[in-house]
Amino acid sequence: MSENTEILEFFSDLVYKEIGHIYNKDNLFGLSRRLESIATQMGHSNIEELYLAAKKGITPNLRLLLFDIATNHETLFFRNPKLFNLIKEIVLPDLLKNPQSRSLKVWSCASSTGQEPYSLAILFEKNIPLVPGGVYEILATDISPQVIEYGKKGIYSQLEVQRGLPFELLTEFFTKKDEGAMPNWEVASKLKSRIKFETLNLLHKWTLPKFSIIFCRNVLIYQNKESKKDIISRIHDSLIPGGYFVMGGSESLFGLTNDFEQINKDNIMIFKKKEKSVKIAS
Amino acid sequence: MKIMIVDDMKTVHVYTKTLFSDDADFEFVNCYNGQEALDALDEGQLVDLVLLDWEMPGLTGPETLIEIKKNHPDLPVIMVTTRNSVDDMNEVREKGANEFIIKPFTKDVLLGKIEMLDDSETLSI
Repeated sequence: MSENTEILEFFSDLVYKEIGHIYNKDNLFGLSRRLESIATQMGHSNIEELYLAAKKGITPNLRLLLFDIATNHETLFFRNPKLFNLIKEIVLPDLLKNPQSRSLKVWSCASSTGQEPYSLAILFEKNIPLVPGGVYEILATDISPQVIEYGKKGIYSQLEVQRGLPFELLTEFFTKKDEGAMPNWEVASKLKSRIKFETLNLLHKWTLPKFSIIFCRNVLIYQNKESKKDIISRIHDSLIPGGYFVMGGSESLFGLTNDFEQINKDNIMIFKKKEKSVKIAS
Repeated sequence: MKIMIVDDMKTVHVYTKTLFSDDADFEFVNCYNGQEALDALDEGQLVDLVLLDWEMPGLTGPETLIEIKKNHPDLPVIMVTTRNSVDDMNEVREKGANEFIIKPFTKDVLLGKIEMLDDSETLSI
């Protein structure tokens, strides 16, 4: 084992134990580059020095930086537009059809810097209040405190608001915060007031209310099968009967659970909680 | 995809082409003012998309936009400008602009906007 491999395995094991994120051989190189960045941020001249310091003890600051790099913050507004169209066309009419249950609770469980929950809030704001009695609230969680703070502020750079956000929605739901060539844009307070941002580690048990829709996109791909089953089972428990579960475009529940009905449209797949659970063997 | 760039600044043409220099799927038609663009389109120049600057000698971007939309209503036009006020965005939206990019922009912003104009990927909320 080379010295560098030993260092990468030390940090990848640490990340796995703490948050269940698996670094395979293909993405260890990416970890190496990011560790170099952390080493610089923490005043070490290289990752060997960082490793020696980490072996003496993981400081809270290092732990946070590791969580931050281990989770993929690459995100944009309305990532996968067809999914949002499907939510409007199929999910909302289904959830809002009963006048007694038009108060929707929605959970974006890996919200990163907030683009997903704000995109959902825009979608809901344009549709739910049109239905008599229709209201919504969104819980946005992520393991990284930094990205949660970022999302809570709801202030995005000019480049960020140009990624995925149609310009008519930019003018409708954002305010230019400052002048100059590269202004920042702030999300409208009517959207912010609908979203609660909190840090949460999906590997830890949670106590949350029941949700109508849970978004968990591109998170479980980094977990092993056992953790996936555990998280999916707890997501299932956190949904109302007939509630919806949304995964990333390349993810599926195959071999993990039979507790959801699959819904397909325009090559988009989402899952609806069945009334009766059918357990499958481990 | 063939893209018409309408901008009086040569650097914008060079910059945009450089962004796509390793991408054979993109071809560019260069026009340096609004009238030149309108003439080219009326003479049958086929393009899939127009990237249109706002401030140019002669016809302005919004004036050019109106003329393009009169004769080529289905041709997508993205305004590409340093202007970034909500009023400016609303003005060209009313005149038919399909999208709006604020300079300076990156390749992924432009690609993202192009993708947003694809009917099969369009957000419809």
